[in-house]
Amino acid sequence: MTAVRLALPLVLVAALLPGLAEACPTCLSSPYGDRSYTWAQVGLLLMPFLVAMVVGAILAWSFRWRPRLPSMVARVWNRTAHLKETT
Amino acid sequence: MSPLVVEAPPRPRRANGHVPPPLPPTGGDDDPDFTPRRPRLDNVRLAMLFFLSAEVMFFAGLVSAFLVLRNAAPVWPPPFQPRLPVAVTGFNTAVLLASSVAVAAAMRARRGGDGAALTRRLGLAATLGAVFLVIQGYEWVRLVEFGLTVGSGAYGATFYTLIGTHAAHVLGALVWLTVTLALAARGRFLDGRTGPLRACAIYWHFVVLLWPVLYVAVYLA
Repeated sequence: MTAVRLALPLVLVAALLPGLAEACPTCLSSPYGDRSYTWAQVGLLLMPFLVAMVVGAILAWSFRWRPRLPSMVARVWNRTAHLKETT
Repeated sequence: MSPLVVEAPPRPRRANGHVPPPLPPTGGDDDPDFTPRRPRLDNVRLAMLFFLSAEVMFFAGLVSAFLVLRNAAPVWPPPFQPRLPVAVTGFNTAVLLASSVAVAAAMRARRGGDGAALTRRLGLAATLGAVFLVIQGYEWVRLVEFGLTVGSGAYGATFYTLIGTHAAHVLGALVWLTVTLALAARGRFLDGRTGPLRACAIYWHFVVLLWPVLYVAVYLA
């Protein structure tokens, strides 16, 4: 148990140490010498977060969570609803 | 004195299929307006949500690999390679989108309790899906005849991998839709137990809506 307590911070520090990022072999062999990220790579990196946000939004909507509308939009919305009720 | 043997009460066997939860025990104050509360998000939608999330990641990986390889190439399409049939595939895209409309119409018919219209519209959607696959197969035969194969470098490999994976998904969805159609023709789904139908419809819409993204990325861009 003591060894685990000692090892855990070391593992965390090792994981958080900055490392040198190398481009993939395709980018390295690019005729233009472009070794930076492209939009395809950035898009793939962001995709899990986008998917998680969509799943979270669907779950939140299913559990009746609604975003609070700005006051002006809410006023117009309520007035429209009132007109619908009376006509 | 013999030892006392206590046997566990028999556990009811779980039946296959949808088993509605038992109603709460009624006391002396029955509410005539009481209706059992529906779940906020039913199991079918939740399962399809997570399944389709995995599918989105899978296709995002394939599209990303395609775009990385494409950006790395000095000329795309490579010289002496056949061009992709944009017009025919555009027509095919319309066919696939029409099948999605037919599935949506079938779901409307189910809500209205019209079993005949449900079967008819599911049949139309399955036919349109089959037409899509036939046209795509014809395209592939022509492209192979023109010399575009999986071994034709990154151009052929990424094309057949990406488009072939989608075609395999359409084929799987078509089999699922055909089974659902057979069940609908036997009168299922009109009694309110619509889980398999809804799951099939969600998957079909996903496969259809994915195609325009691939069409733009692979054929048009």
